[in-house]
Amino acid sequence: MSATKQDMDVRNQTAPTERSANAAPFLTPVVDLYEDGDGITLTADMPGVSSDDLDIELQNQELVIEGPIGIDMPDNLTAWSADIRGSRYRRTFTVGQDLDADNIEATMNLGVLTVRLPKKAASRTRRIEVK
Amino acid sequence: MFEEFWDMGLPAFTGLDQLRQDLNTLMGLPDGQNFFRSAAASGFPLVNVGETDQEVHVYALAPGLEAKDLDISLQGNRLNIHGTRQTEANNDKANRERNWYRQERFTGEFSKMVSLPESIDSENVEAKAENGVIHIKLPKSAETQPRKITVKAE
Repeated sequence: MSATKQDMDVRNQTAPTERSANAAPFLTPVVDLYEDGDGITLTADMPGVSSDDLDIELQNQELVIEGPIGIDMPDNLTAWSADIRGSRYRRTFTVGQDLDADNIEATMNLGVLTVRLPKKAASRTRRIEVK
Repeated sequence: MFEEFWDMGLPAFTGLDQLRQDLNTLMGLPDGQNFFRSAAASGFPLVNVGETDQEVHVYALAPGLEAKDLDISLQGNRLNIHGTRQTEANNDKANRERNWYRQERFTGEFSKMVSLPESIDSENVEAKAENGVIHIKLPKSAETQPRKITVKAE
């Protein structure tokens, strides 16, 4: 995964064009984020990204979600109006140490990414029955 | 891709757009959210519109929805996209056990009016969805399509 990122950086450095200098920054996907007793659930709107192209990485408590918008458009299309300009989403989150990095689950459905980050067993909420 | 395509042929950010973007960056807000709430340039779904000689193409970014979830109607050259998107933010029962840190995604009913560059042959509109992007293909009505004029040599 980190190889992909490096490749990208290298490409940007070796092919400096005017367009890349003016290229739009990454699009920031909007997210919902909540915590419950067992972990954290992150939901991100990333329309146009297929599950194959999605890149999720967790390193040093930094969670990165990234993916390109892949839409087939006619070659001879000219733009009329655009709410979004950009072809790649990316967003970074800092997560706590109490999460179980080995058991993160991610699903991508209809352009919505859902990431479930479970807490380590010791950090889960234990329900106490009051008699 | 959107970047290569949408960067061309459209005016660069206007002063206000730039200011809005700078403020968003300053405030740590994602795209699609506005520091100036009242100046909602976006809404849901975000829409890009382009055209070829024969057709108008609308790309509505409606993650979580399929073409059948949208009610699409046309009046003159105005397209209306209507529908509802429910998210976990509405799950009141489950939310009693949750601490929410971010709630940025659109939830609820939406209605978005999109101006189209040309009048449309409303009989032959097609919509299909892929990965949360609804692609609506609208053929231009016959009279607005460019006509090739053959000049005959005398």
